[in-house]
Amino acid sequence: MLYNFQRTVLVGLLLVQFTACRSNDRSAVRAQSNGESVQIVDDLGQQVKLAKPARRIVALSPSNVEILFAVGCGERVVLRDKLSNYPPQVEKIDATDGFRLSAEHIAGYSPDLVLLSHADLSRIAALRALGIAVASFDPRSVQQVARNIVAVGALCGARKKALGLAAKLRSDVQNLSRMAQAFQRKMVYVELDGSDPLKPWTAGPGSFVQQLINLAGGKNVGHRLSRPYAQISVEEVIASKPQVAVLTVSKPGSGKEVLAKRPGWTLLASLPREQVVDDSRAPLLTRPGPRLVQGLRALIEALHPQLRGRVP
Amino acid sequence: MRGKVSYLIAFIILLLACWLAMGLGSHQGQIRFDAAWLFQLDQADELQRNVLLIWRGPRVIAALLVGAALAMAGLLLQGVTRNPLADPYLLGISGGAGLAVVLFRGLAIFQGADWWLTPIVALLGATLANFAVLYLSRGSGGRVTVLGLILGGVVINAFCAALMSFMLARFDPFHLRVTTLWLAGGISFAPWTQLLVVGAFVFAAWLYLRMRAHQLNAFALGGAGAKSVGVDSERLLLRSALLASFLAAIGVSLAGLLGYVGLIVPHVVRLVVGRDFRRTLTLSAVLGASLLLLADTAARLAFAPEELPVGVLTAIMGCPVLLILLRAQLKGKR
Repeated sequence: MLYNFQRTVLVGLLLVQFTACRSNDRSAVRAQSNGESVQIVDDLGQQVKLAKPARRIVALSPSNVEILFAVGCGERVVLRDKLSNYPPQVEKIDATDGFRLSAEHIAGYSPDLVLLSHADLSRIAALRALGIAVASFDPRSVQQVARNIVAVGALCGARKKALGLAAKLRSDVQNLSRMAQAFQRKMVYVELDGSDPLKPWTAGPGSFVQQLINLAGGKNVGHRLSRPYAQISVEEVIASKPQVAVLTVSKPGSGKEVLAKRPGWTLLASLPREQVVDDSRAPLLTRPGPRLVQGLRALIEALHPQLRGRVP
Repeated sequence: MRGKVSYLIAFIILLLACWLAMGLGSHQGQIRFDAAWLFQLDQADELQRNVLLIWRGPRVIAALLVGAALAMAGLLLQGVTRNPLADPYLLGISGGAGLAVVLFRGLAIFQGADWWLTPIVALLGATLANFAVLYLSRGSGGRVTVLGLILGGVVINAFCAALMSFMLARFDPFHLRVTTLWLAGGISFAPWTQLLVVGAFVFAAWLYLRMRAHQLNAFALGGAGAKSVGVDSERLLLRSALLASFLAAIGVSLAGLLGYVGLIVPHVVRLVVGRDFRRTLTLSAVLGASLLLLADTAARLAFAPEELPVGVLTAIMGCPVLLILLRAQLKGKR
């Protein structure tokens, strides 16, 4: 009884959040009416101004690259980070290390906009000193992903398309989540790195993937952690009897096959294939980009067999 | 008399540490270890069996072995350098072992190497670093000086740390992520075969040292004193350095760069039972094992279900001890 009540409150709160954020979109982007100039506020709270939409863009995180392609500005990316791998045509774009940026190297591509997600203030300052506009986005929730999309869209002159994409993202997530909340919550284990099987890295409160798990009607095994990313005790993982595993793949050959080789992990290794999200689908859940809807769909199908094949 | 009592107390501490480490888990006390399982393993459920045989059991053994190895290495180094500040971590021996392993993994000479390969590589690095420090620390007349040891350790440590940072920066972070974690010092999973082999080696090292205890005692008397009882100081120093490198390499290959265990334990032991190597050896091994096991259990439980690297805890405990020792040494010299 109480459980049902809690669930209703939760769904209610989620819906309120979404509606509240809908109005936020436009406030984040104050596109000037005179001419083409655009001005946004990024996730560091800094104002980013462009006299006209960006033509040459350096995008240094997989989610920023995906967003640029999704709003139709993909061909303007002149340099990307090494981890970006979607859509497939990004492979042809020059790549650099997204964590250790060299301002000089970036400037060599004469960009008019640099998009980051891991903010390193001194390097941002170095780029700004060269007269390059820098915007940093580090979305931690679906709402922030939508804001990120709108802001990036505005910066490259695709504001309308971006607003449409953000709205669709929200309504898709809302619809999926509403479907998923009707069922009992099951435990979901997320593995970010299992190199040490006694204490693998997982996600906790404040992480993007935990929010998606909640939206999908699951409960994160790492919900008691104190940080978004931490090492968790294997005993906690197995004793919470996860019914779904999300395995992010950092090198070929990991994933479900690796679990089978780990002593003491039979519970997870014997999960049916449908209850494991791995391979190319796992990054959809940890990458805060436009494809998060697909990730959410995969997670819902893994969690709720009743919905399999019926998720829109 | 005092010897027997201290042995008794040390073994009680050891048993207590084992009991705590086996009995306490992170999962809100849901998995309780009960000694009765040992006798009816076939009836235990899977979770209980995992706790005993895979998660806590091997980890407890690994912690015990590493703790004993590091404490013995520290005691040995302190004995042959006649200096209470010697410790495999401070002298850069662990750093050398660490660097060797990072180079080995980073250059991926042997992809998917077996568990026995890492200790061999670690041993090579440890030995090189150890002899480098001993060479650097030789003052006039071939005597190892305090200043020389500390400075030699600083230099070797700094060099190894720089090269390790270079490797981590140069090579794919995902490839070496394991290594990064491992550098912080932490006891991770080890297969039973490895534990068995390492256990045999640690025991052999203890036995060897126990038999040579009188020589080490004579060595402590100083060059002339040692000679009068027929101890070849030079050879003893060489052998001891090799053995200490070997013990440090065992520690590094099972638990990464773990500092200060080898410093604290022998010192405490000497405070209680004096300088007789026959006693300090066994007591250091037993107490080193208990200390590391307790520290690892604390690292497991302090922020459960989150895990801390145990190296952080040993450093927090060890640094004040180091400061006090250093202070006493400098005062004594004046």
